[in-house]
Amino acid sequence: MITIKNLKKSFRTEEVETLALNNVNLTVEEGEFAAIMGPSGCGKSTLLNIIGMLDNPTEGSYNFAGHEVAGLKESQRTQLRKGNLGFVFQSFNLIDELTVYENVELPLIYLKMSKAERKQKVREVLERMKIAHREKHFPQQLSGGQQQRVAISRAVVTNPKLILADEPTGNLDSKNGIEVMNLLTELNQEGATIVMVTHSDRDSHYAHRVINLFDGQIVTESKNRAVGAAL
Amino acid sequence: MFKNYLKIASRNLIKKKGYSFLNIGGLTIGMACSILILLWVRNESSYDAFHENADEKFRLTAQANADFKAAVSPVGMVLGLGEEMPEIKESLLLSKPFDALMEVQGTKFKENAVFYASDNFLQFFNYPLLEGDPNTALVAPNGIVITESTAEKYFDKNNAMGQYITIDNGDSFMVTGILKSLPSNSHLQFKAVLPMAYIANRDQDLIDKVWNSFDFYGYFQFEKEAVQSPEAFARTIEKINTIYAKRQPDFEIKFDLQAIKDIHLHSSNLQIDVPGHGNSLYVNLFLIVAFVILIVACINYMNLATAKSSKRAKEVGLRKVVGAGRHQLILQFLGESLIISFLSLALATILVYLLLPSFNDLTQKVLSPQFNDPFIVVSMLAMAIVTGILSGSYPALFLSGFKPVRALKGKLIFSKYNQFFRNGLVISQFAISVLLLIGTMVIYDQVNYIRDKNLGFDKSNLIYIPMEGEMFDKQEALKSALTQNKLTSDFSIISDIPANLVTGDFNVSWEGKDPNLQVLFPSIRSDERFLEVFQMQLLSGSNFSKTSFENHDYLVNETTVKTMGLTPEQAIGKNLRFRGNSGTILGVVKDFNFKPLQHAMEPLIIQHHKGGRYAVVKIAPNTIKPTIAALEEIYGRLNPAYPLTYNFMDAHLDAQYKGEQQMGAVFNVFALLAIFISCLGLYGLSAYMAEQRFKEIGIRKVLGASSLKLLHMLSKDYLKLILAAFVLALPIAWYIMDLWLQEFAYHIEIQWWMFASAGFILLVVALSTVSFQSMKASMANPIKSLRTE
Repeated sequence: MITIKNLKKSFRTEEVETLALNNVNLTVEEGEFAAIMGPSGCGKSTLLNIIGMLDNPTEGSYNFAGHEVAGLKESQRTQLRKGNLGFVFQSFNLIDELTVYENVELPLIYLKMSKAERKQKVREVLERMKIAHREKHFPQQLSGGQQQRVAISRAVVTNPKLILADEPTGNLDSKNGIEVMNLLTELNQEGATIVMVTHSDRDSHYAHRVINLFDGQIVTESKNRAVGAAL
Repeated sequence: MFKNYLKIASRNLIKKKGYSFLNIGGLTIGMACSILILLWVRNESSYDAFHENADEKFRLTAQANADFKAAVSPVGMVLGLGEEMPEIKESLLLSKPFDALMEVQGTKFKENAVFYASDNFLQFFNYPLLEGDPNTALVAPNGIVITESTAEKYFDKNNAMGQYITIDNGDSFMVTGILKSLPSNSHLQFKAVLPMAYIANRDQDLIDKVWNSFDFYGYFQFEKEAVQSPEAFARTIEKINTIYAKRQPDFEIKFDLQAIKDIHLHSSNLQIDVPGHGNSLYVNLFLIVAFVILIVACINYMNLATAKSSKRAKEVGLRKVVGAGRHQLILQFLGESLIISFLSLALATILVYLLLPSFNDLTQKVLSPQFNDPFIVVSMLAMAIVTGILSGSYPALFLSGFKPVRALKGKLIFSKYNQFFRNGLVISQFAISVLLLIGTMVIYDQVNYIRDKNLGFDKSNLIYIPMEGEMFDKQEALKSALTQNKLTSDFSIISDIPANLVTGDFNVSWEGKDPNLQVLFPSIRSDERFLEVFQMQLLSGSNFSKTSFENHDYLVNETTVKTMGLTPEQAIGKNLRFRGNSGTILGVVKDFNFKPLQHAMEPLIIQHHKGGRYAVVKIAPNTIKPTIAALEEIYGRLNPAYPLTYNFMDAHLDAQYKGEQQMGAVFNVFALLAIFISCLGLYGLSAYMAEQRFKEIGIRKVLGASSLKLLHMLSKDYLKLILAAFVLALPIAWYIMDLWLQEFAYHIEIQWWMFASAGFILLVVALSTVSFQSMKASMANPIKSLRTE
């Protein structure tokens, strides 16, 4: 599903050029659950943003499901992203002014789906994430775990091919964190491809494969023997 | 999708009440001002458009020289042009308005606006008749057409038709028509119209059908082809001038045609005219003010919306992540500003309803909220749409351009361009405020200057009474009665009040006069006490004495002497031929203003005459009441048929500048509102700037900066903006206000202190507005600002 070749990303401020990613080569197969690990500032999030088409690489190629993404304009990336990708963030990133229901509905609106269809899909996913009873609440009325479940609902409501998670448990206590990881595992077992950035060794064990980044380069890749070993 | 935007917008409005208040408040006030001005401008520019075929109807004006233009024409010309010009469909003759004493069944009413008009008056002008036949109402010499309100005042409303009104204690006139209340947007405002036929055998001008005395107003309706194109119009005027030149080869008069729709706003250069005109300059000025206020309110919105931007950055980032394209975000933010602008429009409409009575007081108008006028409605909707798009465009482009990754992290880097643009907005807002402040000061100063200017005579404590009815023939009795009473013994009898003198003759000659010189000489006739009562200064020679020759002894002013090429001393004893009389210059009077101060000084001939149309009494201090009582007694005894009317000279003079005073007052109000709106925006912007520098402030505090130091640091930036705005506004303010002052022959010079105080006021207001936010930021606990993750 994802083929990345010789990918480089550099940031330029007025005088200094920082190389955030240096010659990254990576392949993620359909249905795979991959974790990216590494110390702060090693380029994990930058890589995830490029995979998520929120950012363009400086050099190299990135092929997503047969489409070359590197060099696309923002509007083209938006087009490709729509419905294909779901994002889960450390800080949930829900819109405070919208209710749970409306937050989850948002991606469907941009897909120009009919109201009835949206209603059905949102209900379904909220039921599944066990948050349907809170659909009229605003994000600030929910606990962290609940908020992340809403965020995951929003990420999966379009039935995306790829879910990108940026430290999804970083702002949660361990009980809620485990719950979220179980949800992601479930989604993966149902066929979703997941790429997750994490600091947590425990979370990384849920993945099929762990990719270690250091100073913008992949240093090691290791396969986990059994999925869910930490359980 | 739209519903979603609406939801977000309304929840944002409710959640951020402070911002919403600033935003909507600013736009509402701005729009309400603009709507009020729009209503006023609409009214001012709608004058006389209600007449049928208004585009074909014109008034004849005459120009004697560069300075003297008047709306009057000779009777013979108005009546005769039609015979020589087949393109004239209709000619209408109208007398100057006059005061009349109306008597109905023993009750007397003094009416100050009555005309004689030719019998086609009601066909030419479309004042709707409630009763009577427009074709015949003014045919019979003893008919009278009155207005609805006059009819209600005189009679039981329903049976005024056929009733009789006695005028000036003389003939009786039968009511032959009742007009519906006159539209306020008509340049003619009157209480009654009398048939021209009544004076056809009485007025010498009418009997002789003269072409050389300018005492009537002439209106014409032309064939469309004769006035439609500029070329045809010029030919028509040329033809009129040729006809006149043939008739009066010695008169150098240039005639022009004034469209009746232009009369109200384009007559300020006409010296003899019906009263009550507006001025196109003010209409344009106020349109600019309305526009400027709206711009200020829009800038406000932009500033406040960008101020909110870091709070909305997360939302923008998120929407992009879940699939929103930039155009969808632009639409969302434009939609939001449109919602706000329409909400403001609704509130502004309510505000207009509430403010209209006060606005009417201020402008002396009877404006109504004409929300059934498609022009007004379309303008208002257009205003809301343009305001919404204009004010929303920058925030929309700005916010939608955020990079999602950074926006989500709240790490927004604002480009230099954005900074520049925003500073530009603030500078223009400040500049507009400075401009309006300077304008306010200049207008205030000029209006005061006019009021307090030394006119060359003492206008205080002067009371004048017109000679009406029998009084005109009983002047000797009046004089002896006034002399006998100590309260009224300081008086003078004059022909005209030296306030807005409209007389003028070319027919003045003296020895050695350049035969090509065509100068108009206004004149006054007075008795020998004129200079004393008005406390005018004699420069040379002597005043009239009781033994002076009537009509043959003259006093002249300095300008006359200059026109003659003499010094005041040389002029004494010189012979002057004036109106066919040959006489001697007895003395030279220091120039005094006998016309409104818009006009430059002109020559003046004061002709000795024992009788006059006005008695002017100088009242001793603190004796106003007993003096008026004494006048009433004298007047009642000599002229029992007329009630006494009296007027104070200073009040009369002040009233001439009512237009300027009103404009000054309106301008003041709008200037203050514009500054207030700017302050609302500034308040929001300072919040934004403080927010931007929240972290910097925290670091500086940790490193030991005091709150005062920080306050100074934050305020310094605004100082620069104010200075830039000030520099930008100065030349524009100077240019515009100088243009306005040029309307007056006598005007103040724009002073440096006006600029300085405008700058100072703005500085104080702006700094006190921002210091609240700056203070809040500089006093906040640094821990809060540094703990961002």
